[in-house]
Amino acid sequence: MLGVLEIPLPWWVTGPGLGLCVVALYGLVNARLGVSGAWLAVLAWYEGWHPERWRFWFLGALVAGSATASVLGPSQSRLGYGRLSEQLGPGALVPMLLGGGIALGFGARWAGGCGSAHGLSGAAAGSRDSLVVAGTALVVAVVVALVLHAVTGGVL
Amino acid sequence: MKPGVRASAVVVGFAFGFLVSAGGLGDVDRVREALLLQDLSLYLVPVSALAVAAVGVALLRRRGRTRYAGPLVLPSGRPAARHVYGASLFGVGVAVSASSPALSIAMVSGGQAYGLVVLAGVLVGLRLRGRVEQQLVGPVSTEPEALTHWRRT
Repeated sequence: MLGVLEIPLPWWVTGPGLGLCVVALYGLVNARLGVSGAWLAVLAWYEGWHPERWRFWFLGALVAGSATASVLGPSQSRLGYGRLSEQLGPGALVPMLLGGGIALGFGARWAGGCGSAHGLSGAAAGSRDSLVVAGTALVVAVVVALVLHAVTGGVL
Repeated sequence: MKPGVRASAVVVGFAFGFLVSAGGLGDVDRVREALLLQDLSLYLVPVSALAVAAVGVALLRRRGRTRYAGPLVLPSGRPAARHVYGASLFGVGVAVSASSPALSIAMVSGGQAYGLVVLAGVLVGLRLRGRVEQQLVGPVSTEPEALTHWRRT
């Protein structure tokens, strides 16, 4: 928005930076960095259990950090979803994205974590379950994306 | 909660969110191009992140303790069927939405308003899985990581 930050930062800044976040959370509070776990803490009151309170602070700060980068970055459209929203109307896009989101949430809880918890934190610690989750999710995501792209004639 | 724990969560969370957005990971078109193997440069981010994290965790392992939470205990779960099932469903979600629980935050803050729909779906999916768990065995998992100790699918 302000245009003082060039987005995207080079991969050699972003990648190692994210890796250091994983190391920092282990080294400071002995915890896996997991975003789905933070979102799950939001549901705790509804399910009747007490989450670790630091997860709320983590989630709030994550949202604030993301918003700060967007404010410092170049101006962007406030609507849309990339080229997908040019090819699909809201009537098709909303159910598709809602279904995709449900699969993300259900799958993350079933597998015991999402891409950050397993793919970064768990895999970095050499945890075998995390390596299986990360590998499986990546392969399935690429294969399904390629199949959808082919079946829909390049729309998806 | 110790003030140090809260400060750690805030600093790490802010840095993580900032880097995800500033790194362009909230750009749905970039994510789709990576999934379709049309542009592999995006994969350099998680690969380099994993490499740095692995080295850092190895150093932490030698140190053996954390700043605010006592001895370091790293995850060491064994793979089970639920990991494959859950990861497969998660992968389908990534392919359909070109997003993830973390990326959807960056998408929303980056102006891709439909990311809110993905976020709503994530919350619904988390709750639906909790409901299935309640029907299967009773208490729900308190966080995704806690499922590491469970043996059901």
